[in-house]
Amino acid sequence: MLMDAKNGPPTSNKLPKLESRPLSSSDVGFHQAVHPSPEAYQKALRELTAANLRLRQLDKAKDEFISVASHELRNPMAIIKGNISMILSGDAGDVNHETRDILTDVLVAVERQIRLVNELLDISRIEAGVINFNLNPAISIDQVAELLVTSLKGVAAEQNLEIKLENPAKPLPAVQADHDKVSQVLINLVTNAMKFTKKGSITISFKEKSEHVITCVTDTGIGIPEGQKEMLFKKFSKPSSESVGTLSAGSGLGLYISKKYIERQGGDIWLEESKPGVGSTFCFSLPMRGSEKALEVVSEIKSLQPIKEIHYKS
Amino acid sequence: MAKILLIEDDALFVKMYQKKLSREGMTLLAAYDGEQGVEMTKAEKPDLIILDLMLPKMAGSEVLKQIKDEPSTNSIPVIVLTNLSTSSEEVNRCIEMGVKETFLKTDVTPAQVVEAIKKYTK
Repeated sequence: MLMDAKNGPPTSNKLPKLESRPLSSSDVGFHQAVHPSPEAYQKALRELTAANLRLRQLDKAKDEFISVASHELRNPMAIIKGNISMILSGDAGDVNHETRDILTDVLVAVERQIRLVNELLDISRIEAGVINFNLNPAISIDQVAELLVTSLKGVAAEQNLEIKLENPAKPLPAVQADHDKVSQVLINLVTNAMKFTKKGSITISFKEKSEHVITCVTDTGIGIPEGQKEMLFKKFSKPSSESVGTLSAGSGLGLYISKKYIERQGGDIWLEESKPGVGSTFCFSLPMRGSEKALEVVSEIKSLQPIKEIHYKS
Repeated sequence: MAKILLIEDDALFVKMYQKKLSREGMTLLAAYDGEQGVEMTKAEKPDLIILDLMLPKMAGSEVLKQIKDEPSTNSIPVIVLTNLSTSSEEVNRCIEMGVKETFLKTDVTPAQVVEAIKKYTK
């Protein structure tokens, strides 16, 4: 029986042959297994093909939405941020104290919005399953941390905080991970720690355990109350507002994104311990390069389609 | 006086850089779509190009390819200033073709881009 090319798959005799044999008790659910007629089989196949095509179209629409949203939202924010920073640096003439104060608030607000849009875009990519991970170059996690500490030292010092890097006892093995995304996770943990620590220090330390490198961020901050621990890695989870000032207001998306990024790369992220008034320790693990887990992650990520972003306008 | 070509379709974005660069004593030329970007590169031979990637008529990576394929323009330094994330395929194509630097628009101020321009037009 030949099928019309427009309407579905080719000949029925090319379809996998349905095996005919006596049923045995090892056939789980055998009483439900009814062999379909060739016509029913063809019909089901056509429906599946159509559904698959529809899903692909939806997926493409979602990718395009992400891409258009990123362009259309980011351009105005870049223009607001750029112009305000030009005024504040005196490009448009002298700025009096009051104007400077107001414009600084606007700048802080637009920076917050930029961060929120970045996080929302990360989330839509995560949920669409279309994040690109670049796993090619080997990463030394202690070097990623070192760069981060150097760039945040100044800001921390302004808050009278010290950021310390505990050097590993022996050189750490390279991990299998995307440099930018690991850096993003570490920035998230360290800036979170800075938000909730009024005095003392933030320490980054490392250890090796069962073919993973574990990185921990320990602070001497306010700690996390018992009731809030389970919520930490959930989307839009935020601490109660009295524990943080308005300046540190976040979206509640950072730890959720971090968790997704780390898990996708074959690792885990968790709250190691936290005592109110003493501080908190967050840790994440990443598989060592060449380990079984790392190879598994590489083949999983390779099997996913990379994000298709549109880059021209019609 | 350094001559900079900005290939960018948002007029407000162009205006902002026009102001910033003229204060720095640089000349800014603007192309508002990909095709115009390639034409102006060939005609004007700027000292540096700032390239947006999501452009009307021609993708940024194609603009870059045509600039790199043309012997009279292929040594002009190019900086990418885009809204596409640094891990996107389009950005990676441009990095492979040898752009000097890639910035996410919301990450930088005009002052920081000027620093980069100065670095590559010495």
